[in-house]
Amino acid sequence: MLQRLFYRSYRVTGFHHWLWKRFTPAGIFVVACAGMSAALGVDTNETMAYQAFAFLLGLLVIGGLSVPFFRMRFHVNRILPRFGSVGVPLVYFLEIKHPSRLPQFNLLVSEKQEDPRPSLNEFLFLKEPEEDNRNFFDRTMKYYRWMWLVNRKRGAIAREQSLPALLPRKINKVSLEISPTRRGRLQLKGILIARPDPFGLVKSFVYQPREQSILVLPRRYALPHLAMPNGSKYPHGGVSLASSIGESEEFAALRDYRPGDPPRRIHWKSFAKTGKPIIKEFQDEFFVRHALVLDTFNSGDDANRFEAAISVAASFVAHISTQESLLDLLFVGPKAFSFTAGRGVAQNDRMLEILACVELCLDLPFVELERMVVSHAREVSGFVCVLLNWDENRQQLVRKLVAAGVPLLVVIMRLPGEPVPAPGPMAGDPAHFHAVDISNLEEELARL
Amino acid sequence: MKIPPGLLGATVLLWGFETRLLPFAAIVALLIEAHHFTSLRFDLSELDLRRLWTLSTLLFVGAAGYCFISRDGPSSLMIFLQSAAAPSKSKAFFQVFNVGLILFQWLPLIFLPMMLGQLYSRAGRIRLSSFFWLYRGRIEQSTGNFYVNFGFPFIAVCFAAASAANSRDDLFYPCVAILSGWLLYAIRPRRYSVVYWLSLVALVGYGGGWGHEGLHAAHGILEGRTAEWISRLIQRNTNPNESKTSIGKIGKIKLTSGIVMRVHPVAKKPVPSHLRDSIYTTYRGTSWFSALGKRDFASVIVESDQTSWKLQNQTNFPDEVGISAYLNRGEGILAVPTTVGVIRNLPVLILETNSLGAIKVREGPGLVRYNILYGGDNTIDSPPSRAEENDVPETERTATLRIVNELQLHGGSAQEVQRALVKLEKYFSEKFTYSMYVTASKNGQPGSETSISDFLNNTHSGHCEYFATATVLLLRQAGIPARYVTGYVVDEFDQDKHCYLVRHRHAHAWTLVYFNGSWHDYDTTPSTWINEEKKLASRFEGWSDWWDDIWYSFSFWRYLGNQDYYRTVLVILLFTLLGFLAWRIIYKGKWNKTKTKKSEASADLPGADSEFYRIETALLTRGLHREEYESFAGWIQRLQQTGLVPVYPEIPGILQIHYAYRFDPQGLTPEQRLYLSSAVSECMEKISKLPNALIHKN
Repeated sequence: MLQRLFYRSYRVTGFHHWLWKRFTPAGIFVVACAGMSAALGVDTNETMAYQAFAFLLGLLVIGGLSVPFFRMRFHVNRILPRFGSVGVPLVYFLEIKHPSRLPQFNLLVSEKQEDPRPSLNEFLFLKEPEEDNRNFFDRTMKYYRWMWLVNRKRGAIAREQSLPALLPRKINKVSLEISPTRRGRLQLKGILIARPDPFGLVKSFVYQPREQSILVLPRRYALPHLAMPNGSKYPHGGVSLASSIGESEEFAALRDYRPGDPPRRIHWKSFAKTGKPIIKEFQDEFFVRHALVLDTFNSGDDANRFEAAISVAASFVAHISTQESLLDLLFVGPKAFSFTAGRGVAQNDRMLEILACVELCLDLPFVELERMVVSHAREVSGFVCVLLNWDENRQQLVRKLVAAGVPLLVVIMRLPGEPVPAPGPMAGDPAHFHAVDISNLEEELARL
Repeated sequence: MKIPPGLLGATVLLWGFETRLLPFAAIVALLIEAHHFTSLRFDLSELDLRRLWTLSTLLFVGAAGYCFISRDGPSSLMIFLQSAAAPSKSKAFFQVFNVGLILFQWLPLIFLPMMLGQLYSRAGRIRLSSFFWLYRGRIEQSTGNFYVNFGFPFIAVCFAAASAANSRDDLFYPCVAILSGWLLYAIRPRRYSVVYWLSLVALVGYGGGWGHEGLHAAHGILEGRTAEWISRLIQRNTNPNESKTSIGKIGKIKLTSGIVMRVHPVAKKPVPSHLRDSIYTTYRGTSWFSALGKRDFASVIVESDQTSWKLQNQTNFPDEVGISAYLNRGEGILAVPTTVGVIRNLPVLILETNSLGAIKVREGPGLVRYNILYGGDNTIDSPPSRAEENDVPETERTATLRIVNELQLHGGSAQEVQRALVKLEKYFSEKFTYSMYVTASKNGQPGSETSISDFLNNTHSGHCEYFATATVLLLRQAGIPARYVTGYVVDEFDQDKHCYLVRHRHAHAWTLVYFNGSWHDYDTTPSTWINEEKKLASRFEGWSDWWDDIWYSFSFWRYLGNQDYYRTVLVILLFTLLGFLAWRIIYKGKWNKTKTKKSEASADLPGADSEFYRIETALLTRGLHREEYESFAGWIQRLQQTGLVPVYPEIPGILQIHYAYRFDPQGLTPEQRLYLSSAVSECMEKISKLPNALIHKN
């Protein structure tokens, strides 16, 4: 009952959104002053504030009357980049054309955003990640839960921007900026073009629906130069996987023909020049193949831990150069996934795209990941394991990898205040075991 | 958005003109506008601006406290919170509201430090977090830094302050319109022509002028209607001290247990069991009327000591009791025993009584502690009128007549009356029970019995109002004059305070019976009622009593202590508190700084024990000054280049090792550490051998 009451109270924040949408900052100031003068001038014999109220109300009424008269048709085209990233302002362009014969000044533009307020069920049943750490008052009031749900639903912060003068019958190219707040696909509904009233208080709108979407990549952090865990293992499949099909060993040198050399290795140009058969010598190339293991099995209900793990994994993907190596991304979603990038197979950005869409695995056991990783152990030179926790299941996985003699780098997500766990199976190689505080990821990752 | 030059000053001048503080306003306006003509700017940090805001807040709190205390705010607030009567609440509310209005007029001065802080700071704007403590930290991190121009709220504050002065001149509205227009012109969208814009502003100005006159007129009409409605409401429902009460009124009062008065025994004499405040004569529907109005009260002449009031000619009274009670803004009906004769120690200007014996006082303090001399057979009540002997409503006659006949009640001689009273008391005690507050729900329904008839014929259960009303009607039916009285029963003795506490739940109604040439209290309500009501006492009654005690002590000290002294004491206390808060804030800031510095200094920095610092100290003491921006290496290099002083060639080598010791994460090997120590010692020996004068001379 009480929670429903709080929910109803917080829903009133919709009025706040409406206010900011319908009025300019000056308009909101006038509305506030009108409210204050109405309260102060409620007894017209005691103060003269009612006189100011009458004037301010007149301004708002005249401003409001201009709202229905803005019906200009705009043709808007949005030119989006391929990706955005969480926390990085996303700048893109709009092409705006209007049929008027006069230039249009002082217009405002913004992305139309859906109502970010959560439903009652979401408010009642979705728990904010850090809610258990909050004090009794905050846990009861659930205001932080509300804020978290609003941010979660909003996807991006899109602020209103002023448009430069729009020239008539021409395509005006203007830039627009939004700030994505969560990874994944961001749906953009349409463009709102606003015109303030003559006093600059109340806005009239024209809405141009333009549904488009853009993929928002996870937040990434800078990593120091890492000595990635490598074994001197010849990766099965080698270059054939990387650049071409069949034997595609790298050219090493020329030498004289020896009996038994295949004729197709004869270097005909040299044979012609020297008069004796010269053989092209090839050398099998040794290259590094890493596997990035992403833990998608949440042991608790902590979504922040998972988001941090995604960011850490994305940071590794961005950091490891796939020009010179291969990188496998191993995780379990609806089923076990293995995705390889590098050496011409695919680029890192494809892997980041995958990471942008990874969700928690709720219906498969952890052993699925363990099975996939252990079977992969023979093919890679080292593992980077990004784990959400350091419980027995995870330790068992690491124990098996250690037993298989595969070099490992283990990164555990740790909540603020949580003690650093003992390395356990990594006790033999503590330098490659890190428990990072997710509230301070940038600094913690820089220390790796 | 920028505020056009001159607008802030003009707004301040408007405030000064309206509040008759033009000289102050002129100085303030000058200070504000001077920032356009001077390049003087201060490098105010976020912390400084927060402190300025804290200063403004403290000034606001101080001014509010001063206004509140000096304008009789505490008593108004208590009346507002405690009074049950709507008119008193309303009056007290407007008194508090007026305190707020006076405070409003000071606001521009209160917020001036913040305004000047913004105008004369290099940043020229203020972060939102400077104003709101809650906004700092997480919320600001998540939403980004928001800056505000304090000039806009300052203009609004000036307008509000000017309007609160209520000068009623014709300049206020045009000035507000012009100044607002000035501000709007600066931010107007350029897509509209100036002529079009001016026309619209003129339209708004004209419409607003017409509108505010209409608002004022509408308010006048509404106020008249409201007053009419409230007066009807009061007549219908509320004031038991005046001329009317309804059955259920006392019952409602009983629902709370706040302390109404304290009854102090005098010289171990017994205290009166009943203290009455209102007497009623006529019963109609479910209401009692006194048949007397406000105008029927007559003043009593005060005795020579200015605090004693003689109500009866008799001089000797066997009993005496002290009573402490609150007066609502110095006015009220005194609760007294029926046989009251003299009231002493009552510091009021006017005391009035009516023929029914109600005693009203005016122009008194908020709390009075008076002594009453009482006892004997006489009362100040007028003898019964004929109507009071047989005035029984037709609707109740059937029921009352049946009981009178059944009990064979009749008046006549004093003995007959007393016999009738005994019979009646026995009748009620045997056949009726006390029940908690019930409303007179059946009243007014056609064909149904009235509340009292129902009580007498069917339910035989009710609260004191039913018993008292029924008794009066039965006695009158029997030809015995009777009146209906409301007041309080004195029953609960508090050992700690050595006095009787009279609570709201002790509110009671009973009967006055006339025989032997005087009026006597006669109560037929079963005596169990006090215990029954006590069961309803809240579990938090102790807390409520604690607060009542504090308020009583404060009121006693305020009204009955040294009355001239309290304001000074409160103001001194207030300003001491504010001073302490200000000092705390400033000191806390310094303390934090000191703490930070100390902690920085005492931090266990790697290499902090390097012996190289000895060389530095030795060179510094010999006058080889090191600039603040110079590193050790730069300093040594400069000394070497100048060639004016003998700087030993091994110092750069020692410095390298010192740097390694200080900054290299690997640190020094034991050998290197030993070398650093020994090399510094050797170098120090050489430096110490040099005469200071030589170096200075060089």
